Amino acid sequence: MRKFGLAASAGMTAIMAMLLAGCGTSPSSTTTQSSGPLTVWVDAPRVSAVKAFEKAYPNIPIKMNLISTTVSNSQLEAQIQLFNKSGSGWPDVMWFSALSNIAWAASPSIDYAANLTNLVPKSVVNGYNHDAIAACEIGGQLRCLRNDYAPNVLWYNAKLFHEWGYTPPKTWPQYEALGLEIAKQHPGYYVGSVGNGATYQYLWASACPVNTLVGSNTVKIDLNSPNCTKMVNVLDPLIKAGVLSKSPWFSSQMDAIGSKMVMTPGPTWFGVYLYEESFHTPAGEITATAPITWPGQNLTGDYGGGLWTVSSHVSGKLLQEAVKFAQFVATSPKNQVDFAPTFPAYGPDEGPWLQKNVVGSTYFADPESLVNAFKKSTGMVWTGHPYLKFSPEDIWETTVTPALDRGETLQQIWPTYQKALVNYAQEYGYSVVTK
Amino acid sequence: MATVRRHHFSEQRKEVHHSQKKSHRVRRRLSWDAWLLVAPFVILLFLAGVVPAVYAVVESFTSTTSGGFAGFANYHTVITNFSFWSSFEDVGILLLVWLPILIVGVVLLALLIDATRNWFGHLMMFIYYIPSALVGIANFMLWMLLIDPTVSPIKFLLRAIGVKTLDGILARQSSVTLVLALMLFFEGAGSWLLIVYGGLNSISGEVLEAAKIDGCNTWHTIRYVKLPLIAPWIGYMALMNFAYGFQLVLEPQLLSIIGQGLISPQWSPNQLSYTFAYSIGNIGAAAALSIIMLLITLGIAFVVVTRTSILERS
Repeated sequence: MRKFGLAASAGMTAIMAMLLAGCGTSPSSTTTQSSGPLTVWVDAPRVSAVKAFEKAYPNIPIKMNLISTTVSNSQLEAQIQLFNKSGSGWPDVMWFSALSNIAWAASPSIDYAANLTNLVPKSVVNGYNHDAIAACEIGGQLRCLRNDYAPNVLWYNAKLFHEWGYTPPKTWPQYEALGLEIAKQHPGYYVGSVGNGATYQYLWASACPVNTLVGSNTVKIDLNSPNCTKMVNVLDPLIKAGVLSKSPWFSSQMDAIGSKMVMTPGPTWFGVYLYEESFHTPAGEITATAPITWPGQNLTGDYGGGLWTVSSHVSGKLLQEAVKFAQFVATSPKNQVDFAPTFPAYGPDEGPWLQKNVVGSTYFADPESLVNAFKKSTGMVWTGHPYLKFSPEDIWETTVTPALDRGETLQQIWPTYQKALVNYAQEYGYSVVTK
Repeated sequence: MATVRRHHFSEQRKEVHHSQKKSHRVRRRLSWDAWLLVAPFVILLFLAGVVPAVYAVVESFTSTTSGGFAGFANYHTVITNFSFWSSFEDVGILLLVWLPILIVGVVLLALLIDATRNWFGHLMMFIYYIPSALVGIANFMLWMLLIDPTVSPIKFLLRAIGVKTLDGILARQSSVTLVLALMLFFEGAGSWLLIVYGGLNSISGEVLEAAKIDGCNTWHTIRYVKLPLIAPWIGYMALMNFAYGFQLVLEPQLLSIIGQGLISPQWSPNQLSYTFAYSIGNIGAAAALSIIMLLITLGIAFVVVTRTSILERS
């Protein structure tokens, strides 16, 4: 017995000692890998991009790992954190479907996304629309390559508009007036949703400082700015009139009322992914026109768009191959025009993509109007909002949406939303100014 | 009635006295076997319980940015976080709603089955157990289908009480608590029913017969014989479920995904800890919060075990 006890306690002490020794070592940021197959993590819609690269560069071996399309930020972040903790395991190239991930991945404490400033040719960077690549420019460094681009346009049902004799609104006051008119003349129809995406579709489109970076680590959150309150004054009457849905896009509730969504400001991908695939609106009805703006303010918001990052933990030949991969999938027409399902962020690919996916599609009502709308929207995205470690949209969904569901007005919720934004910003280590 | 209890106690005392004498004699001889029996548990407890706890204590006093000693800075970060108190409040209210439903529900069902010891009782036992046979995720998906008025098979019922959308349910803190409490009840009730029923089964027939002879009716037997005798099982159920509910993370997290963010990602303390560790990247603060939670659960368990008789045979 005594022997057993001794052996057991000796073993346990040894384990404890190893453990405590292990505690002291912090993740090594110098761990680099310079050869071997290129490990890439992509979601299902990006598999064709990997295949296109393998076809173009058959000599570069690729190891592909599939991640979920709907993977939440926190799950990917958890994995990178664990790799940082163990000092190995990072993928060489990684697809991020949420733009808000990049601030996190490029932050000093995580430092996953490599600085690409000197690795990607200037000519490639200049080929992007400035407002599309802005999301990747963090602290003067290029930390990612943007894949697709999602400025808002105004989507509408051309068939119903024609029947009802309406013309699509150009300004926010016109949008409000038409929304109230539809509420009166055609009850049961909707002109948008505030359930989710509202920060992208309405607040950023109005240049409302929900999360504006004013110093390297200082965020301006000022919901009392006229740019915010004027939008609240447009939305509240529409919510009261019942023409703004409170359901999130891509929910069963939204699908149930999808056929009644007669117009909505929304990103370039709404046509296919929302109207065609979720709402199953028949072909020949849906089209888009130029983004709605405030008079004298030629801005719109953007909603989504993914990006490619290269690991900061690779070097040598593998780094070159990783950059080559990221550049190919983000900019080459062999991927962006031939395979990519979403509107390319890289300027030279936009024309051919529109030709193939809009003019060549049988789904849209007025392809010419749609092509013009997309072209007009590029370059209009408000760049006053960076992507930070917290997402004002997520906070909208946890604070504003439930309150709207309980019947409160935006004006009533506004102080709560302001407070929640400030709380989250501080939680993630930002200093906050509110004026 | 009193005679029954006295009779039972004296029997027990005799038994205890007898076994104490016996154990004195055999303690030395049995010690090897005893060690062998507990060794697997002790090793697992050490590797999966003590080691991570010590690791968390070390991390909670380590600065994530500098890697040096941080004092109580991590604890300060956690306690001053805006979600700290609200997350404890969320879980506290849930426990207040869920535990009574679980305990009363399970004991009631167990007594009913105990009173119906025939094929019908066994059939009902099986039916009650079915929800627990589903694993967590499947159970959860079933619940989401049930409470979503657009797809639910009982949507007429939901509509009748004025629920038109899933958001309508998830937007209210009170209904989120209720949904979680019901989900947790159906997740666990079946298994706990087996345990409590096992407790009822272990009551000796002689005791029940003695009670009957002493003139106990059914209610008296339940109140004065059965319930006191299965009290340790009930106490065990309460303690285990308290610990589970207090550390809740999976259910609100999944509810949040289905509800498209309607529920805060920092709803429960464990979720807040997860946010600290993986989203904010402050492992020290996450560890500090885990230690706070560990101390609370250990404290409550300590009080229950040493200061109350819940876990002792009456």
